[in-house]
Amino acid sequence: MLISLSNGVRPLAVCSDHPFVARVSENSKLGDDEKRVTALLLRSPDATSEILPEGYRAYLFQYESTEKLRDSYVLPTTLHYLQEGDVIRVDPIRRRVRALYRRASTANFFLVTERCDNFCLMCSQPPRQQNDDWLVDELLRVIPLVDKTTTSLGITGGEPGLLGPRLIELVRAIRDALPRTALHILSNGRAFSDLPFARDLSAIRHGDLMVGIPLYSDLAEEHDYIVQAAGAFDQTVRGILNLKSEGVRVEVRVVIHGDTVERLPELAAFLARNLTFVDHVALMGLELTGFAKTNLNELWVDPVDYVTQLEEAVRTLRHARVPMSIYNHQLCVLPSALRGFARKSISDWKNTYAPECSECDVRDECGGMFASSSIRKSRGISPLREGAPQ
Amino acid sequence: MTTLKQPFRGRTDFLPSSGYRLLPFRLNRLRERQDHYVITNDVGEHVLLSKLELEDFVDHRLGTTTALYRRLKSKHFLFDERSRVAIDLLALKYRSRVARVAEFTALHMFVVTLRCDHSCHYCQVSRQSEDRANFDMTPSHAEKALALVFRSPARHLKIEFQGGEPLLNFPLVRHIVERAEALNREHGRDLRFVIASNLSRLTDDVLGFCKDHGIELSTSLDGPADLHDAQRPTKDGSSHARVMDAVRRARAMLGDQSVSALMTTTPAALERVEEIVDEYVAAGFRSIFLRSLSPYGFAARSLIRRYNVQDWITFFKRGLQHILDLNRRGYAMREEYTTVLLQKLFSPTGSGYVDLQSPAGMGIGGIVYNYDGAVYASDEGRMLAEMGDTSFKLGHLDEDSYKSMMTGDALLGPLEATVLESVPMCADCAFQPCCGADPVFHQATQGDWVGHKALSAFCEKQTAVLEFLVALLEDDAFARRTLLGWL
Amino acid sequence: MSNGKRAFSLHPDRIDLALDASVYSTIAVQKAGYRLARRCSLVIECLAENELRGTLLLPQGTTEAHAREVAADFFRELSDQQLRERIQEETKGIRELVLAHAFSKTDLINRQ
Repeated sequence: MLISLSNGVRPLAVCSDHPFVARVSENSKLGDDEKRVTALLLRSPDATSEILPEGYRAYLFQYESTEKLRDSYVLPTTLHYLQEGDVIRVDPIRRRVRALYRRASTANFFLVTERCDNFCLMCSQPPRQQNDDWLVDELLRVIPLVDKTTTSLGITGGEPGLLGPRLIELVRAIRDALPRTALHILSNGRAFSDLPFARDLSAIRHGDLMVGIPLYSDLAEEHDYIVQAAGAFDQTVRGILNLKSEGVRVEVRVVIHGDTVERLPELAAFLARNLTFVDHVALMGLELTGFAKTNLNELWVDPVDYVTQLEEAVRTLRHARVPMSIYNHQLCVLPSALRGFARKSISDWKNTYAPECSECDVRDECGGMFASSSIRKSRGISPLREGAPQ
Repeated sequence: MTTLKQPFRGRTDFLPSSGYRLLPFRLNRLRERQDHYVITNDVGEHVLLSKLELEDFVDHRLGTTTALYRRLKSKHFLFDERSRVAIDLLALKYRSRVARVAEFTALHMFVVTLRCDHSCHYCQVSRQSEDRANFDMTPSHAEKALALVFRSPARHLKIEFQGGEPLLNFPLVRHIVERAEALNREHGRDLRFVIASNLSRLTDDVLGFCKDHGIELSTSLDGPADLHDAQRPTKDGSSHARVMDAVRRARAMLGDQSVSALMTTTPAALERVEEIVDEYVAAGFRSIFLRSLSPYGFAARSLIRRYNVQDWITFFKRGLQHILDLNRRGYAMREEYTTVLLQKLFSPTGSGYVDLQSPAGMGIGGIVYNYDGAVYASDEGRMLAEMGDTSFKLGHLDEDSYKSMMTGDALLGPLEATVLESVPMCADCAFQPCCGADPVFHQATQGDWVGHKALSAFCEKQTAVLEFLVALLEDDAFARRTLLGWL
Repeated sequence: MSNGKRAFSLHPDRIDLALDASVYSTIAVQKAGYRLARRCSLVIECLAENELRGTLLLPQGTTEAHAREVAADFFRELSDQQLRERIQEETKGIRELVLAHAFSKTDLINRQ
């Protein structure tokens, strides 16, 4: 998701009359072509003793400056985290700067649309059904600015599948500009129930592509209820089948909450039997934001209360040799036998630790909690001591 | 259940309206559980249910929110208008199960000699003899056999050395391994070797060779020393001691899991299954194959009292319970035959065990190259030949081509005739996905490939073991967890 | 049931069958007899006036109690066979669809 620290910037001179993207750099000696797409970041008056060169797309000051170059802005302290290589959107009209890509982050996800044909009870990014094609237009301008050594990127929404041919265009552009970057697309998979579309995605021959697709039950009625769309289950499963038959890697994602926990073992058995060839299964903890907050009473289950179901699901998937991981669970709420499957999955900019975590011996291996989870906390959160019986 | 706020819709909006359709399945009445049935489908899913539940199900009376309905729907015994993807998934699963047939012959057994230094009472074939000329495989035949091995398209090839006692002709074993590896440089298959041996001749030289070429060892351990030595006599009566010593040395050199063992049930063993399993535990084995006696060879002719299949079934059940108890007490151990059946029930690709396949695994799953150059469709087929019935001989390495052997009537006849889907009783049987055709067994015991299954000891054994297994999976949570861990 | 005749009658060493052919199919009867071959031999005599007549031959010296048991098992098996037939009939079309689907696809999904 995007960093929504949209904070006011103060223009110092004439501005552009429309939003634009630029790569952040502190290097004042760039060539002409590069300058045109770069926002020069000046952290202090001593950053450069010379006169500021013209030709940069924007100038960002972390101090009061008297510069009058076009598109010069003073950044609020809340934007002082920007670093070399980050890509930003500058909106001169609304006086906002937003980081679209952070080079130092391991979890850069690009929002490509807020439209969605599902309406999940726990959606963390509630859909908005309006034309937002401009997001893809902008992204196509951002991609060339992304650092070529980036290890991985994500595409999310809304539902990226609704982009149709534009998604294909986007993935191709990413492959061309960033051939060594892994790409993870989060999708409900329904658009791929159309085989030609799955084929088109495969035909791009992206070197390291995976589509992450949620499946919430072994039963259509349950899945459709959770995603609030009749027929979603069938389309999603068909989408998975089509992608796999076209050689695209697929990860099945299962969010564990009040409506999925009861049949979690059955879902694992279903995956082991019917979708045994998927490349990965992620069993995920719930993020208490967006609709998850709205439907909190139905959805919240303390992880320590579903240990049995989780253990059984893990056992089933292991016996079937399906690669799997547990995401978004703290090490202390998991039984020791399952801790090996936990990954530090919560993006670095939205995780947090409880006060008691400072005494935990395995804090560094643990992904912590969602910042949004302050509204509910597991009874199991407590420091682990190495060597003590668990 | 909490009521959701607008705009979210409640569960009832997504429920199937009443009216479901049956997907294909088979049923068996359970003999040990009155008025209960097991139903299965072609892809190995199974459900136990009462007669009333079965009738409700078949009469389309099941409520769509009942636990049974949901279970049957999830396992693809029924579908409704809410979801038709079950058809696609069933097709895919079925394909995955039968794809193995296209892999073709993966197991190639080389009988490198018929000579043996043991005279096991139940042995089907071996000879106490020093006559190499008459009882050893020739390098020329080995070479011809290797050519046939690589004619098989199977990506995973296993060459198994048998006998007699293969280590009595170790020079040829060495030669075949080296030649196979040389040939494989061109073919690039996953090539593995195993030596089925009594391990009495396991010299350091042999062990070193096994280590260099990643060769596995398979041996016979019939139980405690008195039992083992009594039915596996050798000149100095030391078979058991030699096996133990060899296993220890093999593990030290090749690794803990490099030796596997199986046992053969004889009348003397019938009352002693716990001791036999305990002997395996003492010897550090993590798995045992409880094998019944085959009705061929010396066993058929021997003077020892033969036992009936009910005795063996009791033996097996006790053995399996004992193994589960060991697991309960913390010693991880599994039974190999059960594991095969579990794979057929739970694994998407079924099991590769050649002796339990439909179509039968003979020729198309495993094949035997005999010491005399003859080619047999299976190990049992070779044993039957020793009794005078050569109907499962496919040809001879000097006389017949691969094509004529693999497409001749000797192979195709029994394969076609015994496919379970088209055979009386098997066609209707709920255990069909867990079972296999055994043309050699039925030929030996009833005089025809198909056999009358109501009179078949094979069928009786299979039915009893499978009923026992599905009941265990249903009733005993610990057993279920343990058994599923054997997959 | 026609003129109050019973579906079966017990005799020394045999059980006579008189089955209403609109209730029991010949195939189901044959299959039931086949399954019980260890304990009896089914002889089908004729099918006339909507009645299937046959005999279950029992080993010599069978007691009436035992014969009753065999008869009970036979009818239990027969009812199972009827059920099987119904299911087979009802699911035949779907089965063909699944098999056609299974063998029509050209690519098998491979887990690399």
